[in-house]
Amino acid sequence: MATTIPERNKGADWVSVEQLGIDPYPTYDRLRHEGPVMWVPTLGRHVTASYAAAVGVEDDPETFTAWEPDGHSTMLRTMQGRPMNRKDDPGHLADRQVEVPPLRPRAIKRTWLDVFDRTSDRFINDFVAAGPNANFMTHFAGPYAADNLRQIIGFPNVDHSDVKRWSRDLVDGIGNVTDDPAIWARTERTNAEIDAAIAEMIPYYRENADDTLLSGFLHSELPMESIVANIKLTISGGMNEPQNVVASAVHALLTLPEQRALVDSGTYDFAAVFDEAVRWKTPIGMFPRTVTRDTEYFGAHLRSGDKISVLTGAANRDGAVFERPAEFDLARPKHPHFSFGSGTHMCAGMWVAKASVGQVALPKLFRRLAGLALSKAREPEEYGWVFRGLTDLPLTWTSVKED
Amino acid sequence: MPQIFYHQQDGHVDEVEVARGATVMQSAVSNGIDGIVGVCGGQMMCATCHVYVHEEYLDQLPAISEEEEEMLEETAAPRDLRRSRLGCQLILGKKLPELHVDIPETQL
Repeated sequence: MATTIPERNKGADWVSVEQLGIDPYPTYDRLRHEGPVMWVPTLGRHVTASYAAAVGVEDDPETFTAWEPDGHSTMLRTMQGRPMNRKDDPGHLADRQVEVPPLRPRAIKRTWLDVFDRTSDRFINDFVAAGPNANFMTHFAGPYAADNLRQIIGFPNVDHSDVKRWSRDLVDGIGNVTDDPAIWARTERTNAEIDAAIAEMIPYYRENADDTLLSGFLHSELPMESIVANIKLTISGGMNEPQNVVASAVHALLTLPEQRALVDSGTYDFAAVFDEAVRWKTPIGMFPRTVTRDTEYFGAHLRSGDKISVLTGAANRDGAVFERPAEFDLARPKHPHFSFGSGTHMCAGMWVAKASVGQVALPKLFRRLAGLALSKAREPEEYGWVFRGLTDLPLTWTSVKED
Repeated sequence: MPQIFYHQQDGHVDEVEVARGATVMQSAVSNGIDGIVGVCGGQMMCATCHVYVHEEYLDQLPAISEEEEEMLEETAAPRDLRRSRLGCQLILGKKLPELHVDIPETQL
């Protein structure tokens, strides 16, 4: 007889999705304490809440597949195709080998650092023009992330506001587990716009090669269906992370003077600020896998076909790995965070995020905006758990320098 | 069986017997050797399996690919232009039955 898997117990029936959106960390702490792998009935899936359980999932892709069948995936429906993060190797790797070169350090140094430099100056000027108490999210972080993404993908034919809107629509589609028809209507319109924008650029890239993703894809052997799906994945995934981490890093340095002093004295650089900020407030808080066989994992009974989600934000607040995990502390002992995942699916945009935020935007913001401070006009606000970040960060400054 | 000797910063040496085809990175991770991380699983995306190979083995190593070169420019500890390699690119086997590597001060 096959191993008997006990009937599913009630699991973490106390988890509130609303509370996760407001502040997920108390829920993550309790899940880790009672789990660390728990069935969450309101989500219809298991979740991992410790660092070790997160890494263990990515170390065992045969048990935890990234593949989601057609018809059972909001992401596949949203993108009208299958991007690489819903494939296992070798299919995933075939896509990835084309996606990655434009996002690696060489291409960044050759092409993208200059782009990030110009883009950050442009949007710092826009932010300043919006006046004191301006929301840093809407006037800098969002446009900066969206316009970098637009240029890296290779869309001279669209505006950064289009990329931002597309990203939001795709993210809403991926999260549309309640099948809201209004959201599907938006994702369909966005798909049509993205498809048209790609089609418009094809003749140009057939004749010209550069460091953009579209150029790389269109000079590859990949089928158009994969190319389009991976561009949509990049739009959905490449916007929130840099947008939210540049803001949480600024927020941390403006509220923690002793941490700011460590940067001003040169003890730590902005690359270190980036690494700690991305751990402290993990922008992409969850990714899903499917269990392929009946098994026990960290004490939880998993059945073949069960869905399981890795809570990256919970892994990064695991006290067994990070002392005083809720604190932003540049001086903490070095340990890899889980914000970009690990193994074969590790975030392809990691180096771009690090360069655009840690190497360009943060040093430039603090260099150009003297007396940068939190505004007293409004309290900062943040929201979300699958994607979490500040929604309002009002700032003031005393003077502006040219760079 | 091939053998890898991991020389830690404090002088301690971890000696590991590995299967043919195993890499310096995988063997360190699966044997819990301190100081080698290997976040990306061996796809040359992360530069956290940096090692310094002992001089006497340098002529037995495979050439450095463009991707490995790119990551070696990003290592957290200083690069040694002769001895620095990514552990994920060093495969033990017939051509390389034994290897001594120094673990750098940091990978992050």
